[in-house]
Amino acid sequence: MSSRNPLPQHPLDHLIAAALRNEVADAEPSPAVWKRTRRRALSWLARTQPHAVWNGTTSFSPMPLALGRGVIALHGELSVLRFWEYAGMLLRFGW
Amino acid sequence: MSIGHPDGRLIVRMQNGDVDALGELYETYKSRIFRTALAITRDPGAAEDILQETFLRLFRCAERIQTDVPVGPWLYRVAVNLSYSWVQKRWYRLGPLEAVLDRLTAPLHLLPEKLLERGEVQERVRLAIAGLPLPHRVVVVLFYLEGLSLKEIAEVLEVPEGTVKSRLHYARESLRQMLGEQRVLSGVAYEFT
Repeated sequence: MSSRNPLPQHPLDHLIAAALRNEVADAEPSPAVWKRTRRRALSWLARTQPHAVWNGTTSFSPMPLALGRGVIALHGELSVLRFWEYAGMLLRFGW
Repeated sequence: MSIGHPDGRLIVRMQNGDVDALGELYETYKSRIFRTALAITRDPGAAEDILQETFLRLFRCAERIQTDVPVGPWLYRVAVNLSYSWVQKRWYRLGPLEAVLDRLTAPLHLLPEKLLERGEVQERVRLAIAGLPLPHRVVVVLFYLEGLSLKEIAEVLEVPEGTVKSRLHYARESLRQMLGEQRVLSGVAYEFT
């Protein structure tokens, strides 16, 4: 969103803006947030497109999964990811 | 579907399962969304969870996102709704807070003179904002912290612009009364003249 409102000129408005800015202006999320987000996004992709495989750039190619140990290993890893995902959601949002 | 905004190109890539596109949007908007959630919830852990969930929903809902407008309003909307849910769940867990809030938002004219320094004043203002009803607090955060216009806030909250104007008006009046206008503003007026 591009618009930035010029603040009204009453001192109360400046006080409110300054108080909010000083409280959160320098706040940044930890790098771990993106790592978790990316992992869960990939997990969701694997669940919703189970017959695709990841290529090196993390986008999907519509290729069939390999049979045998490759399939078991992939499903095992996804099960672990799913467990932690649901556990995390239960703890954070009560779902 | 037309792609009239740079965000739209990234949305199209996400529709094809490109997580790197999600990463680019995350880098663009993460600070704004995180600060908004933090200002509403006042809890860094909750704000990080809300940030994560907001972008996960963006990825999952990419098929339904418009590609000819910025994705910012959509992100703000989801983050605000998640912040609402978190705050309301917290109230249910902690029980009545009226006594605590009353103490935290006591009028300034009841405080000793020596506490009226800039840092203390800002802390009182922050606590007063935290004591606002949640819908008013959200409008205050989006207007004063994120600099959104009334029209943009109305779009984010999916309410009429008149409702936003009304909430902002009552929020300012509540803050003015809680802070004891004459006491606070006369103390800091020199900064703004």
